[in-house]
Order: sequence, then structure tokens, then C-alpha cells
Amino acid sequence: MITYRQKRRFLLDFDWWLLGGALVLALLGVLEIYSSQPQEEFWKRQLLWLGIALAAMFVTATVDYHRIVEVAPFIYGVCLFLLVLVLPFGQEVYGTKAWLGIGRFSIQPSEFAKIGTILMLALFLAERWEEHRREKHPYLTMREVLVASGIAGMPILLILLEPDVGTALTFFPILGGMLFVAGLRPRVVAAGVVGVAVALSLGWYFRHQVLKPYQVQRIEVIFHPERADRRGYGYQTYQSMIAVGSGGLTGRGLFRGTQSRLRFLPKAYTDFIAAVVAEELGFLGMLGVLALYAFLLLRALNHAKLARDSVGTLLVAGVVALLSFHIIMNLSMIVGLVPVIGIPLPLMSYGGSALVATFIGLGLIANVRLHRYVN
Amino acid sequence: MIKRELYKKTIRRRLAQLTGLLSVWGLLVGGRLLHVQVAQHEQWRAQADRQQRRMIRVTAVRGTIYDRAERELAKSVEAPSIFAVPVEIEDVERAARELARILRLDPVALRERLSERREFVWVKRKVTPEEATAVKALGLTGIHFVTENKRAYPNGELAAHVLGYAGIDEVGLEGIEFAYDREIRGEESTVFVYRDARGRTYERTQRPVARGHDLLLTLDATIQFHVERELREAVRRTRAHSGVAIVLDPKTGEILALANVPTFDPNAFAKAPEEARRNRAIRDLYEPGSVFKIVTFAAALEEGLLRPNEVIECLGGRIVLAGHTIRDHRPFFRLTAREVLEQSSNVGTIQIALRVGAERLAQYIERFGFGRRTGVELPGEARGIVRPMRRWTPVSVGAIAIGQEIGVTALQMAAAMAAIANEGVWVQPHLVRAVRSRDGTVVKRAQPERRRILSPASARALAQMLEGVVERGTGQLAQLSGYSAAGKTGTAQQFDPRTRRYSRTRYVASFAGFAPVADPRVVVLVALDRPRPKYTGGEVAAPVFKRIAEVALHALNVPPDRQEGRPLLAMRTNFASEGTEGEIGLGIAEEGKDEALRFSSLPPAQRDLPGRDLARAVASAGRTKEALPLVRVPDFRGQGIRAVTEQCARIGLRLIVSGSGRAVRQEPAAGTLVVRGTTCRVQFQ
Repeated sequence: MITYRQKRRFLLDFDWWLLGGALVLALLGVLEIYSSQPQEEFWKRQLLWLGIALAAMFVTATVDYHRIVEVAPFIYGVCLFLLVLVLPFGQEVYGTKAWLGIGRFSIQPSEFAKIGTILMLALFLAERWEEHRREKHPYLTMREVLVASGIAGMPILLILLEPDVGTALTFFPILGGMLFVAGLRPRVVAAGVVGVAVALSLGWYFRHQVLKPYQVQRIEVIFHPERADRRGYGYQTYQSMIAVGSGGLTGRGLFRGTQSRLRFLPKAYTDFIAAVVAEELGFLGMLGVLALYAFLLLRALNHAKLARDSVGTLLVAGVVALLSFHIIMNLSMIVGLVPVIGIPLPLMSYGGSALVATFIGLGLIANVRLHRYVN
Repeated sequence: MIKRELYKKTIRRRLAQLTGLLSVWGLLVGGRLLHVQVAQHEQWRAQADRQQRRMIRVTAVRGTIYDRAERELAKSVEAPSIFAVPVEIEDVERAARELARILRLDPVALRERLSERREFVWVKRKVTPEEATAVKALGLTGIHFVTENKRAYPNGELAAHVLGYAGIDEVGLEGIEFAYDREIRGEESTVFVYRDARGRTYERTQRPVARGHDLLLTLDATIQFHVERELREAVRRTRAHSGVAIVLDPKTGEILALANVPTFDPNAFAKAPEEARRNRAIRDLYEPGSVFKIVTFAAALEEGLLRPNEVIECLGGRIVLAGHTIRDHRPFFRLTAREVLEQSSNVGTIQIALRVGAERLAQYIERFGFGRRTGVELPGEARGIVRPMRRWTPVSVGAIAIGQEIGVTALQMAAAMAAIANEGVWVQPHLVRAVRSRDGTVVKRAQPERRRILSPASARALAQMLEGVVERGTGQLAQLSGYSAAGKTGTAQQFDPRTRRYSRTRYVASFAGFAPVADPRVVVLVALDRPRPKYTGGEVAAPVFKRIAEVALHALNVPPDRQEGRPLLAMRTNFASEGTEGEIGLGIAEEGKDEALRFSSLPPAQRDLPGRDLARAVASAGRTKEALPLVRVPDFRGQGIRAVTEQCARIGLRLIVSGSGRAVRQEPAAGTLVVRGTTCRVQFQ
């Protein structure tokens, strides 16, 4: 039961700034979803989901995160179960079985699996960390890294089976970020960085052998957007850059973005919602959006520092890693810095599951802050 | 155990490293945004416009052309046009095949056009709604529609030569459509059509397309209709090669009707031969012949060198000028000036011209506007051929005086006649009363040029003399029912440029005149090219003048100035209405203003006609079942030449006079019934 004192403390100490920033972005998202699909009901649904997400956030923030992390294995298990369930029973959209239909709504288990994985990793890594601290052993052992990778690997594997490469990719920064904070040997970090760099270069050099032609095209279009095949795979990046570029400094005005309205911009209300913002509100608008995200992330990182214990720090680190990867990859995608991979923009892109999962994540951050003092 | 502080420090360091990584990436994204959105903005904006907007130049809707009573003569109607964006077409082969089938185009040429790497090619413009529907049903990608305007002439051939026509681009190519193209066309506007990624036009910022000005013409569609009908009928009946008719309001210079035969349908102008499209009334030159004598007479009267009743020596129908002999159509000896005009004596006219002299004659030719464009609002008007005086030969003054050695347009001739009708003021003939913008404000009003070329007195005197031509002279078939009329016939041999001589077969028969004489409301000119076998202006053109003038005067609600019809002695083969069935009878017919004959029988005692005339009359009446005008020859004995002449003219007898003094003998005898137009020989002593 929530006591009066708890309630009062919650009201006083809850991170209203975090909530405010997120709400502004989410509402801007609703506005732009409406702008890109004014005839459709997506914006209404998103509003509904936003309500659910807010409720979820408050619930998540209220219950002491230690008690949540205690049941992490159960949550993680349910998420894995749902990911398995999706394979035979999921609804197929764009060739990917990622959604489970429940009445008129459908949920995307992979979004919740991210939270489940963060909780599970936090539980595991915090335990190990406390142990190391006792043994004055500041770094994770190789075995522990492998176990953690296994925890992240299970959902990654299941999601790759859907198949949804973009979503699967987002588990790597969670894993990487949390391992890094939990303590990786510098040479492992270095090896990881070098490894990724070498893999990327080799992959690029042998791109025609390793990748499918369309994937190569998607990457090549980054360097030459104007040469994009207008009907092919470069199309999305090209159209997105037209939207962003034609926005200019101040944008074409809210609800006046022609790229999305005339349906040139693909998936304008989901993955490319930021391009709509860029077109309608211009560079200054985007600067505002970037600033808001930066505010949220930096504030969260600050909470990580203030956390009472390693579980809190790791939780925040996991959520921040997840969100920042999403944000930066998505924005890089719309400005043609990285190839198109299906990664939505947190808080703004249309999608109920992602929105709820994001607010749960923010709830966890608020939670860590709320419980930063040892009672 | 690691101290708590150390733990905190470690955490801070690791988080700071993460923050750094994020910041670098964030800055990278921000920089890229700055680059794309600010530095490259123009370029991307152009890309956006290129794919989203289709700029279509839309010609403004052409203004409507109305007649003087605001009846539509030419208007624009919407018509769908089909264009293609070749890069969007998925299956060019199929698209070309299907489109060619529906639109009846050449599939090979179409496929070639659809294969071009261009943003925009027309497939077919101004198609029928059915074609458009059929093409839409194909659902081809890259095939689009735009609404254009198409010129329509709801009355078909009516006033085709005046209106002209507009081409596929809604640009006037001929006639008023060409001359007033700038006003009618209005300003071209650009319409941006926004289209979505699937190529559907999505929304368009189509401001209401501008409209060109409307034109209010001087034409009267009713008169024009009748003029065209009469002219067509006349050309057919006289087996003429072509014909022209013009109706002018002499006071205002307004052209009430202008017709040419052959004609064409401006709705399908491309199918008509150039021959049919040419506006002969203003483009073709002809030698006017005797009609031109009005200029000679006007000059003589205005210069005080001639009185209407003065006797002119006609030299028995021959005059020799610098070795060239000019003849009359029949020998005349002494005629009054009036009679010279009435009988159209060349010799008499030349005698008068010699008094006027070359210099003054040239002056008057210029004053009447010959050799100069009238300035009517039509393209391609001819100037006419008037040789400058220094290039006149000694015979020129005589030749020109009777309308040879000079080239005029029908409109110039009509305008000259109008000046006489208008008490000596030449008014520029024109077709456009007003240019009116869409909201009804008048942008431009006709301001025809006016010049006094004759004194009112001279003009009136000449008008009276011209009335005589219709009453007694060569133009009697031009007599109107209910109205007085004046005019002049012309039968001009045309100069054949091939043989470089006057053709013996190629005549232009014309008649120019006006009515009513006292207060002329219409001037009508009729010219028929190469009529046969009858070829004189009096026989061929005058009757057409009569019909056109009557129709025009009725259409203009001009009250008749000749209330009483002319009494005629007529014969009918059947008097069923009087109960004497099957009987041949004679009667007096009176022509009413509605051309119906009021008929009353003659007593049997008066039926004894000389055998030959009766036989002719009966044969003719039996065949045509029409009233045949017969007249009784009066007793001329003891009367003077003038009195006899006037009587003959009034009742429609031709007169050949010999001697002078009082009438002593006549042929046929007094009291004989003869067919009108019969020639009487009267001897004076």
C-alpha cells in the first residue's frame, strides 16, 4: 500500500521535468502523426496509447525498483514467451511477424523485451558487480560477459527469427552500455571497438559477397543520395533528405509539409516522423527536439550517478543506452548518415508498444531517482 | 573493498565516457542537419518541387464573342487533355498500344514519344469526354489529365470569316480571333498541381483561371444568317464561282453582316481548303466596274461641274481615248447626267470624268478611301491597287472613271457607298463595338474614324440619282417592297493576269446600294464572281441586294417608307377563291408590304391582249403559277422626253428615244398590255 508519506514524497520528489520533457516530445509526435496522416486515426490511437503509457510510467516509478528487479527473471521469461508466441501467431506486416493482436490493438513483444532484458541484465550484472567489489576485482570476467551476452542473445535470436533486424540491433547497445558501466577491461573495450571497425571495413570491402544487393544499395545511397533509384531501396533515404532539406531553417510550417502529405515520404508517421518535423519546423525545430532529447538523456545520466546502488545505475544506463541508440540512429537515418534500418524515434514515432515501453523505461529512471536515498 | 568514493568515481568516469560518445554522435547529427537543412536547402527544396509540383501553363479561358444582341458566336468550353510523364510509365509498350487504340493515334509515334526521358509530353489534347473516360479506365501509371479549354462556334459556319478561328493552343489564328487575340486570350497563368507519390494529382493551387475579355461585335446574327443564306443561294443559282455580301450601317460604320461563299466551319477549320477560309471581302481585289462611277459623279457634283439634269453627249456609245475605243453596252446619244448613271453609260461617265480631270479624280479616289486599308479589325486586309497619277496613261482617266484599271476590296466599295448614304461622311467600317472585361466593364469602345468627303448637298443629289438607277435604270431588280432604295450596278470584266487582257468570260457582277433613300439604315454590297450565263450586275446581283436589304430592314424594324404597293396588272390561271374554277383570268395585283398580292379580277372586256404577249403570259403563268407583271403601255403622244422617260421608268418599260421635242409615234401602241421590261420606241419631233 502506498502510504500518505510515500504519496507526499512521490509528489514532491518525482522527476516532473523528465515527465514534462517526454510529454512535450510525445505530444509533438502526436501532432506530426496527425500532420502526416490527417485522414487516418493514427494520432487518436497514439493519444490513447500515451494515456496508457503515462499510467504505466507512474506504476513503474512508484514501486521500488529493487522489487521490480527481483521479479526480473519472471518478466524476462514472459517477454521471451511472448516472442516465441509471436512466431506462430503473430501478424505479419512488411514481411515481419512482430505483432500480437489483442482485440483491436496489437502489441509488439520485442519492445517490451527490451525492458525485460534491461531488468534481467541489471539484476545479473549488479549481483556480479557487488561480488567483484567485495573481491576488489573491478572488471567483469569473460564468463560473466558471455552470460550477459546470453541474456541479451535470447531475445535477439527470437527477434531475428521474426525477422526484424533493426529491432534486434537495438539490443546490442543495451548490452554494450550496461557491460561498459558494469566494468569491462579497457582492452576488451578496445578490442570491441577495433573488432567492430575491422568487421565494418571488411564487410564493406566484401559487401557484394556478404550483403544482399538491396542492402548494398541502401548503404551506397548514403554517399550519393541524388543517385538514388527513385523506385528502389535508396528511395526512402532520398525522400527523407528531400523532406529534411526542403524544411530549411524555419520549416514550411506545421501541417504544411508536402513531402509527407503527398506520401513521398515513406513511413512518415513511424520511422520517418523526424523528417516530418524537420520539414515542417525546420532546422530550428529540430534543434529544439534535439535539445529536449539531450535534456532527457543527460538528466537520466545524472540520475545514474546519484543512484543508491549499482542496480539503479545499471538500470538507468540500460535505458539511456537504449533510448540514445534509438534517437541517434533514427536521426542519422533521416539525414542520410546511416542506412535505413527500421528503428523508430522514441516518444515521437507512432507505435503503442514502443511508447509504453519507453515510458516504462522513463518510469524506471524516475524510480531510481525517487529511491536514491537509503531509507 | 573498494571505497564508496572510488566506486562513485568509476561510475562517473564510465558515464562521462558514455556521455562523450553520445555528444560526439549528437554533434554529428546536428552538423548534418545544419548542412542538409541550411546549406543545401535550396537544392533539396528544388528536388521537392520537382517531384511534387507539376507546373502547367494554363492559357486563360478565351473570352466570348457576342453579336450585337449578345448572342454567342464563339465561346470556350472545357475539354480534357491527356499528358504523360514518361519516367513514371511502367509498361511503355502497353501504354502506347492501349492509348493509340482508344485515341486513334499512331502507336509507333506514340511509343517513341512516351519513351523520351522527359517530364512532360502531351498524349492528345482536347479529347472527347468518352475518350477521357476510356483512358482513365485503363488506370495507366504516368498518364494524367488536365482540363483545357476548347474553342467552340455554336453556330457553325455563321460569320466564319469574321470570327476566324483559334488553334489548339487557344491562340487566335484568323479573323477577329486573331486580330483581338491579346484581348480575348487574357493572361496566361501558371497552375501548380501537387501530385502525390503515386502520381495522382492530389491538390492543386488552382487560382480561378483568368478569363480573357469578351467582345461585342457589330454583327447581327439574324441578318448575318439571312445574308449567308441568300448569298449561298445566289451563288448556286447564278453558278458563280464565289460571292461576297456586306451589310453596313452607314451612319455608324458598323458591319451588320459580312459573308463569303464558299465558306467553312471554324469548328473544323483544318479540314477546310484555304479557298474556303479566305475572307474575300477584305482580301481579294476586283475591278469594280460601273459601281465605281459613283466616285466620278461625286467628284463632278462636289466640284460643281455637273447638274443632275444636265444633258451629256453620249456620242452614240463610242468614245476614243488616246487611241483606245471605249463602248457602251448599247448606243446612247444624249442623256441627262441622271440618265447616264441610270443607264450606266460609260461614254457619258467618261465625258463627265474629262471635266473633272485626272488630278481631281485621283484626289476623290483617295478621299473615298481607295488604295488604303479601311482599318477594319481583321487581319490581312488588302490595300487595293490605285496607281499613282504619275503612272496613269492618257486612257487611265477614262478607264478609272468607269471602274477599270483599279483594284478595290468589296469592303472599300461598301464603305464608299456608305459615305454617300451618310450625307458625305465616310465612316470607318468596323466589327467590334466594345471590348468588355468579364465583370462587365467596358475596356475599349469602338471609335471609328470619320471624315467628311462630300458636302451633304452633293451626297444627297447623288443619292437621288442613285435612286433613279433602281427606279428606272439598270438596277430595277433591286427595287424593294415597302422601301425606297438607291444603288449602282456593276458588271466588270476582270483582267486576266495570264493573258494580260480583259477576260470575255470572267465578270464580277455587283450591286452596291442603300435603303431607305431618305434616311438610309443599311448599305448592302453584293458581288458575284463569274456568274453564268447571266452575268450583269443588274440581272445577277441586284435581286440579291433586294432580298438582303429587305431582310435587314425588317430585322432592324425600319418602318416602310413606301406604304402603298405598286399596282400591277397580273394574270392567274386559277381563280378558285373567286369561284370561277379553271378559268384563266387577268387582274390587278397590288403588292403589299408583306409581299402578298391583293388581287382583283379584270372585267372580261379588258382581256384582249395582243396574241403573242398573251401566249407568253399564259405559258409563263401556267408553268410557274406565279403572278406575272404586265403593264399597259400609256399614250405618250404630245408629251416631252422627260415626261415620257419618267412614265416609262415608273411603270417599268424600257425606252428608246429618237429625235427630240414632242412624242409623235410609239411602238407598241397605246393601251397594249405588255410584259414589264418591254422596250418602247418613241419618236419625238
